[in-house]
Amino acid sequence: MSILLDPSYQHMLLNGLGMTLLISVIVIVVSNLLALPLAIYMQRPDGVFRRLIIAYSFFARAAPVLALLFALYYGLPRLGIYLEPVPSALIGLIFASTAYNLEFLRSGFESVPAGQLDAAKALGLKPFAIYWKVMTPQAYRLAAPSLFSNAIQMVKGSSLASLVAIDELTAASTTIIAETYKAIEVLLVVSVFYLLIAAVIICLQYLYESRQRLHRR
Amino acid sequence: MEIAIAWLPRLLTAAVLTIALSAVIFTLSALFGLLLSLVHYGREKSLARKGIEAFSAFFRSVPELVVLFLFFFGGPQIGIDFGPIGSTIIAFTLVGIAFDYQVFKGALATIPFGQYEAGKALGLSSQTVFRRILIPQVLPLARKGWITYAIGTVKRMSIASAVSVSEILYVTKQGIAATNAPFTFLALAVGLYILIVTPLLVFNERKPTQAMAR
Repeated sequence: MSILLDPSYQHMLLNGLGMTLLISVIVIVVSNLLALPLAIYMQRPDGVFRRLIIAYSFFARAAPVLALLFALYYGLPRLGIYLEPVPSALIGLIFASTAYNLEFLRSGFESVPAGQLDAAKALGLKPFAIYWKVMTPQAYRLAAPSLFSNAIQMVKGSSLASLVAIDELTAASTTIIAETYKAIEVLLVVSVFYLLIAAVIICLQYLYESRQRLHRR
Repeated sequence: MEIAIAWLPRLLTAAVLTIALSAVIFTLSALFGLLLSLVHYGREKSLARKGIEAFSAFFRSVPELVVLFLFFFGGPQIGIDFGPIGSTIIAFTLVGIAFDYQVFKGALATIPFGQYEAGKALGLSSQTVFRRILIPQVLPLARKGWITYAIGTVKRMSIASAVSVSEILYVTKQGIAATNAPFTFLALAVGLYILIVTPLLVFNERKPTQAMAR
């Protein structure tokens, strides 16, 4: 365990943890913000834009995340677009996780009883109010377990950014392993960091669910 | 286009390796996941079950890449060289068991415990009750979750490229390095993944033919 007492390695691991947290938070927040309007649009009747969303969702869920990251990392410079590694990885991770959140929310909206929409219309609510006050809170309640477990998947997915030149937690561990050959110690510490992040997300889920129960009483 | 044709045999070999690895991994994961879900059935508070839950929580929260490195780099440290393929199979199977255990546990929970008690009251052994009564009902209930995870397994094989397993994405990376044609190769790679996954997706959308728990 002695290598973990070395301040320079501690510094590398904490920097990596910071980058992992930064990437995870941005991906979780942005992908959820993008998924909501897309999921609401999917409630409309068939049209060109709706089919585009379906095609996007299929493609983003069928392609491995790592292939998307490689496409941005190796592909964009060929098109004359030079992005820093971090924004390029963020685009790839957001592109993939928005599709999953979109599907969870879409099935959430579809599981809201049809009478709710009719009742809201009958009361003369405007479309915005129907979605903001009536449909969305119920869809979120139904989609919440999937959205929270997808958030954990996004944290895990951020480790793939280490393969496209980003110094996050997993990349920090491989650098230290290459210098010290102490793989097990370093990787177990890194695992504990990931476990703690997952534990925080699970706590937030319990918090959300217990608040929901209070509201329903 | 010529580049693509020249590299196609290599990509197809990689696709075969991807399919073979996925098949081994999701068979083992399902088998052990199912067995673990039956451990101490009806006594979910037991120490053994808490151990299994801790195992499952660990392997579901830690990124696959880190688990893979744990065996690939950690093995030699304690004198065991698992090699790229061995590490891949062990790491992804452990993660797979952790997820499949949850799928089968959830399916098992929907079957009333009385069925087990009735079987025991009729004088059947626990093993017979599991094999003839519970498992035939669990499988159709768990199918959707299990196959969804299996589809993910095929895609997750791409992560094994990080330890130089020559699956689809590894060969794709070599192709990009050799020819500097990233889009041709990535389009081919994604196309291959979609081809492999589509039969599973179609199978997953089908309605279960067998009657659900009666």
